[in-house]
Amino acid sequence: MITKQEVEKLAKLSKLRFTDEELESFTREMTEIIEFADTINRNVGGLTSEPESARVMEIDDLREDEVRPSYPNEEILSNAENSNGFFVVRRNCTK
Amino acid sequence: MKERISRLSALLRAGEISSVELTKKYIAEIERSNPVLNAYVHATFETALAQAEGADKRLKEGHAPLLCGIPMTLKDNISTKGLETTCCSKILENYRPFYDATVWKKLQAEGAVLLGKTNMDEFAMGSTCETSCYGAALNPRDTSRVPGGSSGGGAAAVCAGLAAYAVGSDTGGSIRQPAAFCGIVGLKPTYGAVSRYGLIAYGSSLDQIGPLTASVKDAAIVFDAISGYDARDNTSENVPMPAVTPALGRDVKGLRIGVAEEYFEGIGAEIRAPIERALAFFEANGAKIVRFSLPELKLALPVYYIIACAEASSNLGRYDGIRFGYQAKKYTTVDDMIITVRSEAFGKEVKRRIMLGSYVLSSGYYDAYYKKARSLRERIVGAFSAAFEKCDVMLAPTAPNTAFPLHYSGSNMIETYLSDVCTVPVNIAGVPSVSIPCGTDKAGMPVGMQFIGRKFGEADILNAAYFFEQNGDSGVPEPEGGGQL
Repeated sequence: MITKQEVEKLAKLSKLRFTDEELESFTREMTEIIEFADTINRNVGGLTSEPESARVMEIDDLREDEVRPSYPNEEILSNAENSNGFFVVRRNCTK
Repeated sequence: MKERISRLSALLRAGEISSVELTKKYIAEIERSNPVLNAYVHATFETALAQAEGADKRLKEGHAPLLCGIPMTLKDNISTKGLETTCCSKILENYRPFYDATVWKKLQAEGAVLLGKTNMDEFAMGSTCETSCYGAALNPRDTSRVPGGSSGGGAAAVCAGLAAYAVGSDTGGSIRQPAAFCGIVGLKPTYGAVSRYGLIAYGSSLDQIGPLTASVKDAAIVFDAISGYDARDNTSENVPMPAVTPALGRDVKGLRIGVAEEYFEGIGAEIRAPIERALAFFEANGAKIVRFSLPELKLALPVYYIIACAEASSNLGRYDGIRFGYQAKKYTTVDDMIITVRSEAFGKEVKRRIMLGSYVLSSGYYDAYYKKARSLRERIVGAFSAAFEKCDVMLAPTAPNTAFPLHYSGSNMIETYLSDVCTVPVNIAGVPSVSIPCGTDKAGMPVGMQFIGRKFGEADILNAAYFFEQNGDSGVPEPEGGGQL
């Protein structure tokens, strides 16, 4: 069971904002989905007990650390609405 | 007739039709049918005609590759330099990447002609193609039904003859399930066989690019063109990958076909019967059917949703409305701007999966969900390896049902999630699978079955699929656009 307060906390973590109505429906839906996800914590024919530990991905072919040309600045900035040689956002701190 | 690529390529080489003429025929077909089907969301006709002109030059010079001059489509989550790539999400509206995905680079080198980008569930999250911000694509075989998802637009385009072939992506069935719903062929390659560079990420440890085609041979040809090591994707595997197309056409004498009983649990007779018929067909042709239990399959669906959503919540963290895509009109602080952009521009299904991902990764739940799912994944990988000691390929239904009616998933969220039960195990295990049509239900809608192989066993599964396609009888009518072009 997941509470409305928990959903509010998750929304904050996810950088999402919901109306009260949306919060109610998300709480219902999340409860349903998490109950389903909880299958892995129930004993399905002994399969879920004592799990083996997860393998850490092996990266054995790291490339050489060499200087290479990057994409040009103007191309990288081409999709931003506000740019001036940089990404422009509103000032976020006051003096 | 099903084999489009080799046939069209022969016509182009013989000079019976030019690539420009062929491209114009496809454009006319798209202009006629797309207003109803909504398979394409961004048309790139100008680019296509320019590419076709280039292809015609190469064809005249001789030695052009097989795919040269053949019109095709890419799913809207595959980056195309200077051309809209939006994942069918409002948050990426008007986004034009400044680089090409490796698969698109490779296909351009072959002389491919891009007709446009095809419809998909928003960020590939869905099984019906209905969560697209451009509205649903429809199933060409019955327009009151969905084409499946998430690569539904590509499947509909191939089925309706609006492209010779399509390239899509499969995180939990997004190539195979729409292929099954539309009665075409869909290949999810081995994880690491096709570069993901430029594929906009959903679940990075599961995502894989592959073809949707009218025939098995077409799928093999496209796979040969797009597979191979890429230094820009560090999960791309640097192993020899011999071409699979020349391997087609072997018989199936002595082939061990594995049948895991769990794949058939809860599967209705309309899906089960054609697959049993296919098994009998293979047995009559000298294959050996090996039946066994694979209980780990029961864990695959919850493990999939936990891992996929966890990765999605992290991957989709990059959408902040600063560098590209949808911008907030009114906001107070930078934080408020980011929250406003994400809340206004992500669709409901995407928000739901981000929230679920945040939940399974958050402190207090991480061990019980994400960590546990990761370790159970290892168990599933091990179970598949053990199964392939007993058999060479496995045969299973692609989906527990045929194409849903439109709007079904909106009111049946969990049921729609559960319908991924047959496709997700392959993504969890990282092995390849190809779905082909094997029969029809009472309403005449196609039923799909999938051959599953060992890692890098594409040649084995495609050969078994090809044998059935050539010698068996699915009863599924050929997709459109085979004859007239």
